[in-house]
Amino acid sequence: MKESEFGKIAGEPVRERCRVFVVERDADARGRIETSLAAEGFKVEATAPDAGAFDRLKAEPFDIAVLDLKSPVDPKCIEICRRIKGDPDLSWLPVMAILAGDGKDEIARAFEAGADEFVGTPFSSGELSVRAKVLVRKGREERWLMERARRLAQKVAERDDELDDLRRFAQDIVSSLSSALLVLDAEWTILFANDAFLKAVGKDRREVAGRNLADLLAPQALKGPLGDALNAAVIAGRPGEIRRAAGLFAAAERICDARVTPIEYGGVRQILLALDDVTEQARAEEEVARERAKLNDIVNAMNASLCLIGSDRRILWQNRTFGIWFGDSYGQPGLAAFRAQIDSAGNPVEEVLRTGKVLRQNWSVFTPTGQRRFFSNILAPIRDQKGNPFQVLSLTQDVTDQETRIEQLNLLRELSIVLQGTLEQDKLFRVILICATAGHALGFNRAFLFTRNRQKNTLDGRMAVGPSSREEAFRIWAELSTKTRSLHDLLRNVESSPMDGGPLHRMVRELSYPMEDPSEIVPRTALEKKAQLVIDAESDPRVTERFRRLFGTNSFVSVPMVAKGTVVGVLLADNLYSGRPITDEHVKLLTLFAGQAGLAIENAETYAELQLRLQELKRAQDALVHSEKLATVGKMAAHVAHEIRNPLATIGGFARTMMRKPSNTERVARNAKIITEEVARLENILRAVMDFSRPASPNLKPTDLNAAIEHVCRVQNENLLGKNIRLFVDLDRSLPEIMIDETQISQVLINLIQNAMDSMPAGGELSVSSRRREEMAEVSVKDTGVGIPPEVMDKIFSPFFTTKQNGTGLGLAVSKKIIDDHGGRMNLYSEIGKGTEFVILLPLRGRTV
Amino acid sequence: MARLLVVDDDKNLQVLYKEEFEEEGYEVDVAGSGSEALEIVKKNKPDLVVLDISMPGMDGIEVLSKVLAQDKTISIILNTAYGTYKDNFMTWSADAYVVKSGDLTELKSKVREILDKKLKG
Repeated sequence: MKESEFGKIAGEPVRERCRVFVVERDADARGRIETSLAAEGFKVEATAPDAGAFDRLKAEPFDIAVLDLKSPVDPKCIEICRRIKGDPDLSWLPVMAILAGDGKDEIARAFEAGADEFVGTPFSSGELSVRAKVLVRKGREERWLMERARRLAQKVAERDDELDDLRRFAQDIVSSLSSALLVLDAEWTILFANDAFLKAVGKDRREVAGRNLADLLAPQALKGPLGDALNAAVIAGRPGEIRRAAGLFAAAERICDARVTPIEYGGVRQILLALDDVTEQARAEEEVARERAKLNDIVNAMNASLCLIGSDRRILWQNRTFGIWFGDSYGQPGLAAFRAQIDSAGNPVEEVLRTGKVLRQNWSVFTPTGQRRFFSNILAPIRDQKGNPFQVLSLTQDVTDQETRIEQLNLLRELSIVLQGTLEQDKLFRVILICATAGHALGFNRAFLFTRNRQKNTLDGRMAVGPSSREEAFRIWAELSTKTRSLHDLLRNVESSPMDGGPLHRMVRELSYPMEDPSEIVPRTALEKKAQLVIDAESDPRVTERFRRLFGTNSFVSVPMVAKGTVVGVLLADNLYSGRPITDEHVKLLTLFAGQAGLAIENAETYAELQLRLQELKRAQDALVHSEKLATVGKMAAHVAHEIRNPLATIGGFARTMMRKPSNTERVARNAKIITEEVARLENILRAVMDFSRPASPNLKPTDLNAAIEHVCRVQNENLLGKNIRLFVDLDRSLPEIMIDETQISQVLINLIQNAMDSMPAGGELSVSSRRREEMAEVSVKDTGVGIPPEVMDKIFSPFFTTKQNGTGLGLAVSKKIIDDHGGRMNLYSEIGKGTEFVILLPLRGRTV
Repeated sequence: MARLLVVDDDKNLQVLYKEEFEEEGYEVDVAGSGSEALEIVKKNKPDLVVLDISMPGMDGIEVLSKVLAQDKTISIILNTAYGTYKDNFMTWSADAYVVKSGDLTELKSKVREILDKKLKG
């Protein structure tokens, strides 16, 4: 082998690098070896086998050791060889033994001692060096391999440590897990179980390993869903999860969540089963659920509707009552009315959210069956975790009962006022019936009123109110829901709205029950003086077929109206259209009400009787007035007789004279003139009598009083001037037109002016004036005449009283009558020698005829 | 010659009575009122007064009592349109009561009757 080849094997030129450590006891031999190796390029260090030989070998990097193992072998050399091969750092170092020959024992001993090669003495130097070179190459190879193996071993050892850590870590985790963890094979045999499982089944590791899961759990544990899940994992490789499985462990009533995970381990399907003891959570959850259910029951059972409203005003949640009220009972109008509250102009939801304050609302709704329900809303903010209001809780209570009670109290109070103040029977009947039907205190659909006819001893239908058909009822209810008038308003309107006399009213007007007939419910009510509540007329023996046919109602109540122990009538009411059941409370209230009504009817009857008496009185008075009139007529007749007798006597007398002495033409002419005058006088008297006696009710028309005065004054002015009387007229132009009979009032003025003229024979002044005096128009006619003596003042307006030569005594009487007929007054102020003033007062708002 | 006083507020009747009684041959005074009548009674001392009852101011009954208070010998005939005054007891003191009429025959005969009685008496 060439050097270069060797160098290649060693990777480097051996000659320069190879160091040889030679141990040879024989100095000659040592020399030879040293020489021959050095000649071959080795760097040789040679020594006798002494104590320090091995240490040098170890301390310096030699490539080969050449040891003298010749027989008889030096134990020190054997020792060195063994130490080399026993030393892990040097075991790679190739050892060449120098043997005495090539005896087999010697060779065996050398190999036994660990030598790698040998040369037998004598050897050529070539032989030694070639072998040495080969050995060096092998040694280097071995050294490199050893180095590598050592490094690998080191790495493996490091990995092993890591794995150990990991394993410990995993074990720690697995054993510290509260969940029971199991690895099962396909037969459910336990391959692994963690501490938690051991604890759960109360066994140690050895008792569990290799046992079947079924033997460790409760007998029925795997018959249920857990078994199914395990099967599914084994067969289909499907993971599974069972929540809240109870009765898995025999020991205690524990509740577990189980998770089944199929795993592949070494190509074998296994199952990882995790059991979480969730007993406490489950109990807590159960508790919470129970509490929630309880709360829910309360919330649902409470007689108030609850809902949760979001900031967008949508209803997010509602309790059962809410659904019942605004879904079923009161239907669309109910929900619409509720929504109207929530959506009302003030935006209450927004307000509650903004202010965080509780808001109250009161509202009402007419249900589809015509009942009015009253509600009270409480809107309260619901706060989020930061305490900011973000939703609104609406608590709605049905306060109809309270409202109804208040209304009932009001009803009775108002009734006692209205009823006692109502004396006209028809109006009273209407009030009673309206009270029974309107409002929601009683709120019957229909009501019928019968009163006792004492003459015939019957109960007669007097009046009925209520819709005559279902359609009408619904129309009225719909109307009512838009304008909810209070009872007070309704009662106030009683007078203004006339009784329309619908079919119901006409029907009841024709009914008359004999008082003593208990077969009919109406007289029975009166006879027993007891309310009769009929729930099912069809089967009730108190109700006749005739009644059913007439009233068409199956459930009604009939109550007596009693006053001072006597039945004055019967009130009958039903809910034909709404079908609302009549409760005992309704009956009680209606009875109470009928008591009031009875008293009022009694009052009204007394009043009616009083009216009758009054009318009789009035007739008597009229008769009296008539007779007085007759007396007046008699008196008048006497006056007329007197007044007529004078002219008649005169006429008769002169006529006879003329008859006796027709030739005395002068006399005849004069007498004829006198007769003519007297006839004219008779005619005057006749006219005055006619004026007084004619039935002159004034024909009232809006009239400008001032214009009438001016007209009279204009006409009379000439006469006045002829008597040297100055006329002063002073009129109040602000007087409105008043309701008078202009002709009659003008007649009064003419009479007064005439009187004034007569009282001023020597002339004087006449003042006519008008002015307003409070609610009256005042007209004054004032003269500067002789005046009226006090003793005749009280007679001056009497018919036929006169102070005048040719007066009829009727002027002032007629004038006074006219003013009286106008609802006015006439006053008189007079002073002897100074004058007289007549003052007429006429109402500005004249009587309407 | 007997002297009469006719008291009546009716002017035409005054004229009629005056003429008629003068024709009968009496001296006749007329008065239109009670007060005027009393003056004439005082002044002329009539034998007989024909007295109307219904007059403005002092009525005939009052005049009657006043005339009688002055002179009880004067005869008085109440001459009136009213029949009712017969019931007034004052009228009893009058010598006669004649209802007014276009026919003066009754009045005239009563006047004559009373005056005759008076003259005889």
